[in-house]
Amino acid sequence: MNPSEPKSLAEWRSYVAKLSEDALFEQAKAVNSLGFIQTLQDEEYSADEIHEIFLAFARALGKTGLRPPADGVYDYFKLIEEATHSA
Amino acid sequence: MPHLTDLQNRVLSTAAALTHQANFAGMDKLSYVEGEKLVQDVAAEAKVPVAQVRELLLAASTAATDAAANHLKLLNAEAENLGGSVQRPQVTDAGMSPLGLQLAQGSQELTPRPDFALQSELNAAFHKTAEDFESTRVVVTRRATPKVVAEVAEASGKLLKLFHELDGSRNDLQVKQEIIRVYQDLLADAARDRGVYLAKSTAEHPLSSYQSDATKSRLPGKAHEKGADTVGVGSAVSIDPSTGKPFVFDYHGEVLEIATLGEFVSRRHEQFELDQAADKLAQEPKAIDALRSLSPEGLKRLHGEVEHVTLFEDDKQEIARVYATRWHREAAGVLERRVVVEGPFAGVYLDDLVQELATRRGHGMALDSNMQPKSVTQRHGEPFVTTCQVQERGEKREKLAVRIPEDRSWTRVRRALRRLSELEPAVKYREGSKNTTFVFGPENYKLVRDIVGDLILNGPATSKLQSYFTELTKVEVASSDASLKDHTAHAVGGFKDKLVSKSGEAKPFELSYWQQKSLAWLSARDYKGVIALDTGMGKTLVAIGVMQELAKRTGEAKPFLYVCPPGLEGNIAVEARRFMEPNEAEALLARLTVIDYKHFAKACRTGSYEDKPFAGKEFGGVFFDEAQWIRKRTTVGGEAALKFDNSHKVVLTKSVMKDNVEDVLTLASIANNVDLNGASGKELRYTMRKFRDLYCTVVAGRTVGVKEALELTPGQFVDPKHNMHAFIKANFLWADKRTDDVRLKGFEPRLETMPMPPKMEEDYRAKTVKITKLLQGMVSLYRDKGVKETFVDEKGRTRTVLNPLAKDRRIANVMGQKLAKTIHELNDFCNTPDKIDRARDLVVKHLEASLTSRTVLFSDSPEFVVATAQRLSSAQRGEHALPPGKLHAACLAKEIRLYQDGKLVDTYKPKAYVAADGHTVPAGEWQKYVIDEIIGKNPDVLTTTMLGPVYQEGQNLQWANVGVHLDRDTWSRQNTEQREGRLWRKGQERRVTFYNVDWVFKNPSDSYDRTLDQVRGMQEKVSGDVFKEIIVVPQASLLGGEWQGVRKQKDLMLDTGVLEYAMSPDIAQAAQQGGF
Repeated sequence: MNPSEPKSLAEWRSYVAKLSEDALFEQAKAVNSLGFIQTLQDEEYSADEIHEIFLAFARALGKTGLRPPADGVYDYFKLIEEATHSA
Repeated sequence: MPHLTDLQNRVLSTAAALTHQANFAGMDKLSYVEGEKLVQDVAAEAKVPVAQVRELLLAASTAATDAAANHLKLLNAEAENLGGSVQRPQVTDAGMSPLGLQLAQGSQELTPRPDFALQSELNAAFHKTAEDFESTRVVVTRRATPKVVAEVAEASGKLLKLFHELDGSRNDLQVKQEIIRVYQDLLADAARDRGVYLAKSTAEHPLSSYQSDATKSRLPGKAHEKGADTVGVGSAVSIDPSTGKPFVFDYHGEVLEIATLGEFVSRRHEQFELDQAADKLAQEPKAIDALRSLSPEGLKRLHGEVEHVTLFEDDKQEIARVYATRWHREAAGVLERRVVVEGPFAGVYLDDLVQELATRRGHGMALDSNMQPKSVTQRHGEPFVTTCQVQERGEKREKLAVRIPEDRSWTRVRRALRRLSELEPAVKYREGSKNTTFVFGPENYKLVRDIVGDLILNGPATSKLQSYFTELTKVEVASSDASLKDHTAHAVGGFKDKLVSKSGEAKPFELSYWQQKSLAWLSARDYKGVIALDTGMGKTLVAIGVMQELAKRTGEAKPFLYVCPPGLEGNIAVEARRFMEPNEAEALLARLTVIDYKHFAKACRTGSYEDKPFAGKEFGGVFFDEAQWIRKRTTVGGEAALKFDNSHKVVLTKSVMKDNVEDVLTLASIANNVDLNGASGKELRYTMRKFRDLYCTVVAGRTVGVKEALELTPGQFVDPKHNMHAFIKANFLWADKRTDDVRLKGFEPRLETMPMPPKMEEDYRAKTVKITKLLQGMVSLYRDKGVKETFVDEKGRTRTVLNPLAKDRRIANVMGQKLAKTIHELNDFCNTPDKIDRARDLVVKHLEASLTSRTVLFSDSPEFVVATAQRLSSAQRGEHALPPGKLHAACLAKEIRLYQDGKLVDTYKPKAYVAADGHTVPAGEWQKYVIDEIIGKNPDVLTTTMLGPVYQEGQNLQWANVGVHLDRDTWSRQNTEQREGRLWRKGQERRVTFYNVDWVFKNPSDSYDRTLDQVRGMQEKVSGDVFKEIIVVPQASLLGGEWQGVRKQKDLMLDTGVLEYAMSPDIAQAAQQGGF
């Protein structure tokens, strides 16, 4: 397992949890692009799995208490709310 | 001379002194005007009121007048002894009344004497005459004989000249005497006759105000006396010489004319000239023979009543020199013309006589830049237009007739007109006239004038044309931009001043330019007409505005009726509450009955709705929204709308014409309250049929093109569409959203062609083998208008060779029921997953450009709608994958589904819903609620696939910026534009791109080898072109532009915005993408 290249959902969660605040924001914005999502699809992640990955980012963003990055494929505000309720 | 008081002495001496100062020998030397000035000056000098000075001066001369009156009394006594009287004055050998004669003889004794009193006596009589003259009105009744009219006019003319001769010199005395004499004769002549009367009209009792009463009442048949200033109603007056007071006579018959003496003379001027010319011509038998068209035997065979008409107004019974005429219809002709039946001109057609006389007189009529008739010198042998009567479709109609000279220089014009008459049935050739005479209506004036050049028109022709164009431009003028201030939101009343936007900002509210223009236009047309504003331009607010104006400006108290497609009944309430003050909105909605088209037709049939009577007269105004639903006059809805009798019918539609020019006529007839299916619609149906036959290429009742200009003679073309443009512009107010206040960001249609894979093409060709030729024929018809080849023949005429493929009769069946099954199967065959994948590619492409991009797709197949939504939501791979977790909606007639990641996650059905703000949405509005609130407001709904026929009207989809037409099951551009208009409308803040996805052959065998998708594309383009030609272009045309005076009005200038649209077809762009 390469911590910088997570594969399973558990690895993704662990990867996100270890990101610094700046890195978290930067990567949360980057992954929320069409191209990255298509890459995940090419890697045969299912829709549910992709959803879980984004929830991981949302959970981490929620913990910072700061405003999440906007203008991506997915709405981090909604994801944070979902993550909060499912916790 | 009676003893004068001190005051009288003072006034008289002041008057004499002032007169001397002004270097006049005496007061008798003063003209009427100067005399008045003297009165004013004396009043100022002597410090005496003007009225008193006048009275004193007159009193001084009255003494002299009394002497004259006594003298006249003696004269009348003598006249009575001779058997005459005031009522029936005796006419002397000199042709004057005894009164006039004696005055004339007496005046010789009264020629200049230094005696002030005698001269004053004349002046007093003159002043009275002058006063009488100014207030005299000539009253002409139908009993007047031409002779007395002429005599009165002649005498009046003399009087006018005499007044002008007064110059303050010594000669004035004679002139004044002559004035008195002529005036007295005038009164006597009029009194003698029973058709022309002279009556007094004063400021307090103007005679014109009695004219209407004059036609109703008859005074008792005896003379009676009236006050000095008021003579009464339409009465004759004469002066009793014994008392000097006016006498009143009664009159008989209808009052034809009341005019001042000056007007009376000027009106007869032209007639006198013509009459004089006629007198001269009557002395030239050879000239008359040349004009004569009917022999004495031919005249004997005429039947019908003799009607007396004049030369000038050849169709009215004017009172002047008249000619006895009868109507004559030429053999095998439809033209009837008046022919003179008596006198030296017997056998001559009246219009021939008029033209001959006008030529001899050297005068015709033309129009100056202000549309006013002006006299012009007509050269011998110039085209001349007059009026005539024509028997047409069982009715006598007044038309214009043009006469072209016979000489060689006019040969080309004659031939061109003859050719025109062969092509345009509304221009009729008079058989046997050697191409010289043609009859036409005012609507074809421009056509004729374009061929002939400048025309000379006589009075009646000028009047007819002026009336026609005045009527035509009346509404244009009344709804010009200058009048828009009366139709702002504030002027209309009831609207909010400000609207609060989504961000909470309050912005001032105003109706847009086109909304105001619509209200002005409808107001000028008494609130009826077709408003064809583009989608999203606010037609519903126009309807609300009209209701407000009807209620507030005309006091309309009856309820209003609003008819709309099913499912859209809630729209108007939403708009009213959004834009109006709450109390105004509720008040309006309380008196509004909203009904869908299906229930409307039923209510019309049964005569009741919701237990209340249902008929046109129950409503103050009727509004038909999305009126393309009733554009066919033979459908139940169309029939009902045409029959629904109400004088304020407003038709609102974006789609004025789907595929048939007659749609235009149906919508206009609904608005104009003409039952097109009934007798009153007969004329209109005929007009439209003629228009369609002449100007359009029609296949199976569908208009496929508008013909180009007509070639009359080699190289000479004329555009015949002018009068149809006038009809369209007069009945429709059309505007495209490109010209709206709020400039939308832009609309881009694009064509996505998909070459068929080999197996698919093989199967496709197998399915279409029976209709291959048909499709090729449609390609020829729609793309090439059926023309195979164009060339110029040996005579210089442009000729075309038609493609036999385009004449395939089965083309007519393609859009009908016969081939519906085949076409449907082909559609299903073409709606494949590949097409959905291509659509998906387009969605992704736009997402890459903007992650907030949202797409709406339209299909005419419910199965394909579901398949599309499901497939778009399913997991994909590769660079064209859509992000998972997003929602994809499928909107069907009875269900709206939401798919996510290939699974159905939610379904909405027709029922009442509770909105977020707690209010209940009625079940009838479920579609709008789900689309606006559930789908529209959720940006996670990435794509929405809709069943076209259900959702192409009434929905606001401005939240989407990309559209896709998945299939073309509709044969009309109008439907396509409706769907596009859901996204591209006011409120759309982004540029909209709309795609058509067409299957094409990878390697077509020739230029006619095309798929059904492509053929449909061509048909839509034609439909768009025809729409543009018939609806758009006229909006830019200048109604009545052939009249220079009309050009001056800037409000009728060309609308460059409309022209831009007309000249930059969006469809051409689509054609360029894939090519046809």
